[in-house]
Amino acid sequence: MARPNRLPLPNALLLAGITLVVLPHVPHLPLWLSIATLSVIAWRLLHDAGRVPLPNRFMRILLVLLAIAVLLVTYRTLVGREAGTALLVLMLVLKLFEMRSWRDVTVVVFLGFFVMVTAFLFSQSLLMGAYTLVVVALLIASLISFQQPTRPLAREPLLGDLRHAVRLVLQALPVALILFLLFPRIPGPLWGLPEDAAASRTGLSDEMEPGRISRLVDSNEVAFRVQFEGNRPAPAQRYWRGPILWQYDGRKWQTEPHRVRLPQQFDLDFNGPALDYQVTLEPHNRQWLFALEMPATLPEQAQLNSEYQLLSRRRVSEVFRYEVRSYTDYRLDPDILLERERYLALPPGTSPRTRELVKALAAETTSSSQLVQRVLDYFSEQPFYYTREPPLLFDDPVDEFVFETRRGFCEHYASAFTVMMRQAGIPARVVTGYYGGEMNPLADYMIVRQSDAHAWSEVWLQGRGWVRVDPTGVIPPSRIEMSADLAQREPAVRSRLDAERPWWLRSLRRAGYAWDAVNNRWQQWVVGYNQSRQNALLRALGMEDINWGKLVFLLMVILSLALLIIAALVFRSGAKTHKHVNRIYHRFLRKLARRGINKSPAETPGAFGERAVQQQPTKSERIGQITQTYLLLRYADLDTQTQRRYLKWFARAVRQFRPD
Amino acid sequence: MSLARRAPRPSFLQRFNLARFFKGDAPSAAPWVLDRRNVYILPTRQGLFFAVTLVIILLGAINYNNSLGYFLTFLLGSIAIVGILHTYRNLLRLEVRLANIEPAFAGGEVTVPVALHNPGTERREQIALAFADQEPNRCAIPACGQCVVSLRRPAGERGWQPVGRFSLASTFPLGLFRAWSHVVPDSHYLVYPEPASEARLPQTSRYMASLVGDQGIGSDDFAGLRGYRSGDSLKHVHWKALAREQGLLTKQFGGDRSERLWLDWRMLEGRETEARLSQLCRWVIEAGQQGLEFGLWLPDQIIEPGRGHAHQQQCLQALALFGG
Repeated sequence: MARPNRLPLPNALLLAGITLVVLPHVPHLPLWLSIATLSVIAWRLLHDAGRVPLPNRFMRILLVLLAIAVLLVTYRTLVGREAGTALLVLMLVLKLFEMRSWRDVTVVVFLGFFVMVTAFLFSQSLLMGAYTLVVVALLIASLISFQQPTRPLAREPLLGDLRHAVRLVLQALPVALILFLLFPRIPGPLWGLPEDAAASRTGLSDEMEPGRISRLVDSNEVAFRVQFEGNRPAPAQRYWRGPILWQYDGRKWQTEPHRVRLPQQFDLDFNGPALDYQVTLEPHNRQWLFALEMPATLPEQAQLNSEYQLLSRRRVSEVFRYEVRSYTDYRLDPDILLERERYLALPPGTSPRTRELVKALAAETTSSSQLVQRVLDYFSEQPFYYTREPPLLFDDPVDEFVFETRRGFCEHYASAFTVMMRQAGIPARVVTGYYGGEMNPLADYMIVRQSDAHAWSEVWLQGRGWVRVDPTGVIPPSRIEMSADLAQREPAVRSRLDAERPWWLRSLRRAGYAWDAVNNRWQQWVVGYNQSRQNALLRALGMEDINWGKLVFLLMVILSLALLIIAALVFRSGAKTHKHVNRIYHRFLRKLARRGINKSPAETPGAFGERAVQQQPTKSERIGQITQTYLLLRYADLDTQTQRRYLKWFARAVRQFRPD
Repeated sequence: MSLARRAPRPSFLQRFNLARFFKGDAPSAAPWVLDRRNVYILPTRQGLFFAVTLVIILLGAINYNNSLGYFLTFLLGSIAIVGILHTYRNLLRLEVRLANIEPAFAGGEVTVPVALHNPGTERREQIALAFADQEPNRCAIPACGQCVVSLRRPAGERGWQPVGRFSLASTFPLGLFRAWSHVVPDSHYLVYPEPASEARLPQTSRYMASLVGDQGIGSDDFAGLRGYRSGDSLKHVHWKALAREQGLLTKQFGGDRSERLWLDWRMLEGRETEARLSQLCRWVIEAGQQGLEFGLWLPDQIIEPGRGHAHQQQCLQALALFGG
């Protein structure tokens, strides 16, 4: 089928769709590419308006080569998430320069869908999902509008195409939903994921260098959400164990590649009530998982390293859900400490002034646990301050912090404390993770945010094992600079702050909780929907031991049913409407017949209407309107909406019609 | 509204006859109603390309375990599937009829006016009608409305010709699927011989002028006025003259003064039959254009002299069907 080889219109719909496709990529595209992309779209728009010519073939090839060269310089590669996306965006917009036929339009639209998918590698938020629907509707509408190539460009048909596209999308949504829920989920990956597959996010890292970064970036982003079954931990117990750092080089704390140990190799006792909960972890592209101290069970797909830290077998590159049981009352390795030297090692000559101080403090005490308490007292007695904006530290961070600046946050305290313990001969290590978490009052789950990230220490004491010590916690509230997150995590401080807030800020907070609750649903049901969720859903529907074949069968049956319903909607007979119109008209005729005004079969509705008006002069207006509407409904070329409106009016008018 | 269906329901084997898929049913009488049995649908090249795109997106979604990627794949796939229904609906229940087909000349084109009636309440968009190997004509049919599309095709040979198979197709709304149906009408149209290029009419030596000449008793041309005689038709009374008080006058008509032309098969001795018919055809057209009164003499048929459109058509039809 031949089509005109020139586009007849400046296609506003298509270009709008392509712009929306590119927009989510702008934040992570290099600036030059974003500008180039939007300029090409603008260029095409100007061309369609008849203002500028398109570049010729030579220019186009030159542009492609130039762009690829610059891409290579920027990324040093053309594969991977960032570079691959940039390349796709580039191909998409450059294709706009040579869009002349219907086939080119389809290439542009399909490429547009591709670029849309790559945006999901960066964000799978609820907003992104809604945005996707808008983009799909626009691109589908432009496909529809290109089906009518000879039509002049006018606002009305374009809106019509958009309406048509929205109708298609709405009819397709239930089918898509069924496919989403029942299509067999194949656990990926099918091939190797590039290094940068998942979004890099703010979060914990495997090293800590106190004094290096003076300003901690506060991020309100959610780290993970927790659903408790039964008991919840007391606020003071909300220590979420993460990476353990034990290697100190005089400036920074690090961890070695994880050594895995089996659970039975730990000497671990639990007391008190158990806490059962399910963690939904946002992807952080690392292996570590978080659990309340101390986890007692090992989630599926997880292992433990020698520091009793939970690790996923793969990088957490998508939402990861796992169930754990923890006991807040525990004893870890109380009798024997393996690799004792590891937790005592310090580079020679580390922090000499602190070493003197520790020696002096140790002289006042008789046992390790007394010394721990003495050092903590030192922090609380001396003018140490908690601040999120500490001064920079240069030569020996611990000495400088303990004797000079005395201002810092958890990293500084944990680092200094751990060094001091090691100087006193007590095995110690730094534990990072999250401290706190707030319950969403509108839905029963706990939100732990990136701003809850925390660092504390663990010391090993004979007979008690690894004991958690949080030196930051001993700083009295008066020396905590307000608005600090740590202060807000204390329930007393928080409730006081809440009371001080104006009503609108409180309702804003409530709205924030509601939004997070919706987001949580989205994460649980959409982003985190996987094979196990699918199985759980089917079990909830009463289908045990699902296999692939059964699933496909079920999918086919439900899909066919849905399509039958949609087909019935689409193929809805017009004749039925006519029958309906006729039925109503006959009701009108019967009402008149009761007054002896009978329509003879040979009489046209118009002629009958005139005769009826003569016999019912007081109702002449109504009779005329009803007859007119009947004729319109039967014979006029009405669009669907008008038809529906007329039909409604017609039915009501006949129902209310009372002949004299 | 008569929704006449072809009466005998086809058997199972007939329904799955692959030839119907390519050629349509045997010729049948109007109206042709497109229904589930004769509307077919397959993806277009763009549709296949779209399917490949979806498979790639799906593989990506599986690999990255990306839920929104899955969702977009399924949404686009569902849109395509729902699009099938929309495309199919575009043709379903359409009623097709043929209007009168004007005879054509061999070597020329025939115009087949196809009337489409849409009984539904939804507009039918982008229906492409075409004879095999011809450029399609597109039209949209409003809800409960009509639309007439004039299809053109080479007229074919002299004589009665079957209209032949034409198809209705639509790729609306997405262009990913093409629904089509074949209509094979049992109607025929008449093809006149191809007019010869030689337009000069035969010498007038053979024409037969009226020996009597004008006697004022013909009826075609106004010939003058004379006094009223009793028995004259009132129709011929010159009322305007009466109104001017010029007395009762009767209008006189004549007609036999004009020339009569015989287009004679025998004048074209020594040529092929088709060439003779072709030449006669040209002459009929010429004579008709010049408004001459002419007769046609054929070995098997003699058409008395006459004039006017109907007469010309009669002559051309005789030529078209000569020897048939």
